[in-house]
Amino acid sequence: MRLNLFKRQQERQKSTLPLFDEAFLRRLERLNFKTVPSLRGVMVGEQRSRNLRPALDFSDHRPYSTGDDLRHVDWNAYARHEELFVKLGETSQGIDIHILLDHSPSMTWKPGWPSSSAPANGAGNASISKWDSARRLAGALGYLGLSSGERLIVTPFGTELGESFGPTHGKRRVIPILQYLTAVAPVPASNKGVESGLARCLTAYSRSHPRGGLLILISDLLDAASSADIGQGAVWLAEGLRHLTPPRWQVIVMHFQSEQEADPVVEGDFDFQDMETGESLPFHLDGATLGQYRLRVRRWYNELQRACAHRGATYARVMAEWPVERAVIPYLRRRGVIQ
Amino acid sequence: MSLLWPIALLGLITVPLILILHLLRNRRDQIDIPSLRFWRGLERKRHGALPRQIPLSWMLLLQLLIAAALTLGLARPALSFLLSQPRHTVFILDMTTSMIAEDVPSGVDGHIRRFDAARQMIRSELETMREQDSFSLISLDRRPQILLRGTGEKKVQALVALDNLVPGASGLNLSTALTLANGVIDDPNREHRILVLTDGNYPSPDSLPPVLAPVTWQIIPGQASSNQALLNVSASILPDGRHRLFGRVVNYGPQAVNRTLRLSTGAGLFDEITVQLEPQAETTQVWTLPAQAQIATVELVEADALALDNRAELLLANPTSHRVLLISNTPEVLSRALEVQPGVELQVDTPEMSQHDPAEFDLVIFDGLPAALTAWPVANVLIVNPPLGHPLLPAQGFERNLRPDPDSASALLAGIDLSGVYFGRAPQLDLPEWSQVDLRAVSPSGNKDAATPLLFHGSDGDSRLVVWAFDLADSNLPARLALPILTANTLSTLLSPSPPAVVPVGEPVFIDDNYTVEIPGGRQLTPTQLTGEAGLTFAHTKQPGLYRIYNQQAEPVAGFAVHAGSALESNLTEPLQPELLDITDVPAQTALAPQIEIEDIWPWLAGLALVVVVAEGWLAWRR
Repeated sequence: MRLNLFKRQQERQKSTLPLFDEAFLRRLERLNFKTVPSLRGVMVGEQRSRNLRPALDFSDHRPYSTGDDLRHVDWNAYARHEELFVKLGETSQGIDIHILLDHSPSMTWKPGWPSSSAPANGAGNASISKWDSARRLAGALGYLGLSSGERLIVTPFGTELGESFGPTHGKRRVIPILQYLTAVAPVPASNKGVESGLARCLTAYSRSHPRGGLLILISDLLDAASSADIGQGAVWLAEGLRHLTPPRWQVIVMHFQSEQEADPVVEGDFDFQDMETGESLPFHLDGATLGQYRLRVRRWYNELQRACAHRGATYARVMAEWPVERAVIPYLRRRGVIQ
Repeated sequence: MSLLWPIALLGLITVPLILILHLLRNRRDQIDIPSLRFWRGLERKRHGALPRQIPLSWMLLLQLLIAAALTLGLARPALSFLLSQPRHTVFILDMTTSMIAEDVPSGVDGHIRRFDAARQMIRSELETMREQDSFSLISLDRRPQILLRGTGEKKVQALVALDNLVPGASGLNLSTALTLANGVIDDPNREHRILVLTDGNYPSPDSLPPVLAPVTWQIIPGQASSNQALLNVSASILPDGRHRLFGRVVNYGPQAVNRTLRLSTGAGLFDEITVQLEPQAETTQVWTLPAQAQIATVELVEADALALDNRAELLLANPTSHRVLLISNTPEVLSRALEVQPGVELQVDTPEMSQHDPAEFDLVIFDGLPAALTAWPVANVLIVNPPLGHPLLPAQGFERNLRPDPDSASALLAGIDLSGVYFGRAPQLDLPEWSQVDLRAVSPSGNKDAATPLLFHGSDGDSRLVVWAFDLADSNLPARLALPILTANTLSTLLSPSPPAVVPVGEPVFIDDNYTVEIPGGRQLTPTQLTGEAGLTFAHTKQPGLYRIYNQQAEPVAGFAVHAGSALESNLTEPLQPELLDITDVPAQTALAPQIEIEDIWPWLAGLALVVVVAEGWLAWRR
């Protein structure tokens, strides 16, 4: 069956998600999330579970309790011991996949400076924004989760958590999830505050989903909270991840960046306006200024990576210019996020 | 370089407009960025929206170049044509006596003559002249002349001729020189200019003609030197035969000086005195010389800037003495005119009582013509008012109320103002074959050849004849200065010359070609025809000294002295300021309407603009 929804159609509106070809979708169907067994599932699925459950292939017993499936009662043991035991064994489970999609204003930044040229690697698309690229990745991962039979929850967040899509499961829910991602809009800029929206949202999300699951955080990790300390961003991320720790949670932080954001190539006089806060400052960009900027960004990357490692999360930096099917998916496979 | 449409230069206003546009374009752009977190602390102090300096860039430079090239192209420059246009330089060279002053610094502490400095300037101009260029050289003196004309190909000959020029003249006529310059500006395809080389040692003229080319004044930088001069040196004969000699010594310098004044005669030193002269002051000296003195030489011994005016010579004994026989019933008028002529010994007879032999006289004058005269005497003869019916000069009748035609006047009328002169009665003579008409009356019919002859001369056999064919008693000529001058000219024609005793340097002297003149130094020259002058003149008078006149038998008959001292030339202290002259520079194109081939270079500029546009497009495409 051909999913026409994913085909490139010129007549579609500008806000329509970029599409995937059928071959790519088939490749996605062969992939699966690589989760840790400690995650707790709610239903039969394809993820391996560390918890012993009533199963036909059993390795242990436990006393029968009301409500257990009588099909799993070990009648042979009842015959010998005249007590009801339920057969327990390892079984695949379905897990919850949480996709937290950052729709703060900074995600809408479109790579490209006034005097810059095309990206250095030439492989990406300089005209696509981080927001479009992130939605495309979220759609691909959502499709991957649904095709694997997992339960999917997509929640946008900015300074606050947005309205979630799901939980849902089943491959037939692919079109609604993509329509949802197409319709979701970035939030406008807010006044700068001292409290990080990222930390607050992650905390709130962990409290609203106590069972945990695989959480994929797609964000540029920038928010409206201002701080003169560059390392404060990593601190706020670590604070948010404090409530999303194993074994209940497996967190994958997909740090969305643009190559031109990380390594700007521009010179001259400019007024920069913060897309998160609306604050404006004048700059004269020359080699020395850009050099200091790059040092700060690299330091931030390192601190984010350390914060993720400290909380047991997987940190993967994804460039918005990378094509999802040719660059992001292979990268995530190399990082062990999918298999 | 000339711009054929200079108003197009208004297009240069696009240059500041382009700069303003670039300033506006380069105002700081406001750019949205994801976060200021990593930029904080790197910002610069705010100076406003516009950059403080002009943002130099290739695009800006190219656009300015395009604007400049297009504007210049619209203005239609014609540079290449003007560079190749041949030039014509008119040199007007001051040749007056003051140019001989040796006060132009040269070398370490030496001086050269002003004339030599001017000549060196002309030489430099000639040496740098191209072959297609041309030049004219006009003398600036009392009688300006075109001395040289040629092209750059013949500049070697011109340099040689320039070296042979000799200055010396009293006063000058700038107006005539400029008129002559206008006359040689006759080629519309040349770029003309007039270069006046002068020491400016002359008074400002009242009016000057408009000139057809730009005038450049090259004032020879003399040092306004101190100069003393001998002026008005002259002599008269006292009743006892001795000579009285007069002379003025003038100090034109700014300081008081003592000068030695020496008087010599042919016999040796006669007197030597020291005169004290205050600045800008003069003194007069009078000497009485013995009757036997032949010549006198007055000189200032000490040297000064102009040596030429420090010496003056005089011929005291005039060897010329003419015996004149006047045969007239009413001799009063002619007697008065004859008695004032130098060297004339007059004898008056009536026609009826004349007992003298004409051969004994140098000149016989017939006032009327005796009926008994059947042939011209072998002598010099002047006939005044010939009667009707005489066989030697047949006449048809009388013409009345005649006025002379100045256009028909010959050299015999030189120096005579004929305006207002009338003749109440004149015989209508049949001109003899030997006659040459010197003056005719104004013809009522306009036919000048048929007009009544008033004066003619000629030779018939051994007789030399001059005829005044009018009645002096019925004319206003005797009441005018014209009569003694006409008498003098007639005597000069018929007798040996009687030049003035003293001639200013450079001035011509009217002398018949039957005589030769010995100039100072011993060379003998003959009179020549001067341009613009009627009759023969002797013009080689640029050297001060004594000039002696000899007849065909090599006998001395007269002489004169040439003096260089004059109030005009000897005062070297107050040069003329050329900027005060009222000279109108008439644009040559309106006066001559030259046919100029305009060779525009705007296509080159337009092509340059096109190339720059392409280059700018290429740069923009690369960005």
